[in-house]
Amino acid sequence: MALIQEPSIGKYASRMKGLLYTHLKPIAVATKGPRSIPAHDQTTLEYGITFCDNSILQGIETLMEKRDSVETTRYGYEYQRPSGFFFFYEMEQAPQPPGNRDSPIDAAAQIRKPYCHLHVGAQKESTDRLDGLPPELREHDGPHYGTFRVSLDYVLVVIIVNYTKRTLKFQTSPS
Amino acid sequence: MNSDTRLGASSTAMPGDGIRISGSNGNSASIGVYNADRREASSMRYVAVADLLPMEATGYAVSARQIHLATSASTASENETIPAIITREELARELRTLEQKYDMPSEAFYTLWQAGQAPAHGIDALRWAALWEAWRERYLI
Repeated sequence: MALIQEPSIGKYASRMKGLLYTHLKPIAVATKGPRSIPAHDQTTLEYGITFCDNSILQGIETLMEKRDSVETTRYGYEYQRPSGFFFFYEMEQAPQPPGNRDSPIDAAAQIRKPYCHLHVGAQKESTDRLDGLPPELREHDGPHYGTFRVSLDYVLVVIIVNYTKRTLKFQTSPS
Repeated sequence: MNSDTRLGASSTAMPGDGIRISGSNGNSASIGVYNADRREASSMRYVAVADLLPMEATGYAVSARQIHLATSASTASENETIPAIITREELARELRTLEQKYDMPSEAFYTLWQAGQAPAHGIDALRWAALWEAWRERYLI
């Protein structure tokens, strides 16, 4: 199921601009893009947001217009904290072929690099000054944690809920 | 006004369907990402993002309806943006920068990247691939 509700890339870009420049205004200090990199039957949109705590979100999405719909063929959302911590949601290229479902090798390949995945770690500049940081947390050297397919909206909510709690003061009550 | 007091948002765990977040104005948006059956963030829409944010001008959280009216393609046919398009010069310059950074020609990177063996990772790799695809197809000439 497509996560993009708009029927064209232009309309999606329009909504994205609304999000980045208007609705994120209370927590953003600078916004860049979206900028389009067109190629044949696809368009890549890239953009960036600097939040008021100096954390940064960079996004890149490759989109294809199908009949009355827009399909994301790749994406990357990288969120960097001033501390050096980052997370990076990624979907790159086409899904791997499923292979032999009874083969542990094929299964391991799917687990090693799922189609949609998440990297969590610290950037090289930070790991160089942080003694004792496990090597698997350095840049993108760690595991690819499988995720569902995410969107810019989802990543923004992850950031808002996890990193702007003090500003927005969420209260979670039990069901 | 302090943003803490003007939002007044709350979230409540909903059995089987993740979290429901309500804005101070009573509008709500379902976050369906925890729905185990669908495994997709299909119901995660922009309204959910906006509902979490205070709005500077009015001092209230933005309602789902407001955002929908303001940004939805379904309500305004003229509401279509042509984003800034990268120029041929920018394309060449940024490809050169990436080639120097990773000490590798773009074509070689792209071949490795398609095989999942590229030295570049993260945003750099995705940008490089997109830039090379645009350059290779001479789209901007």
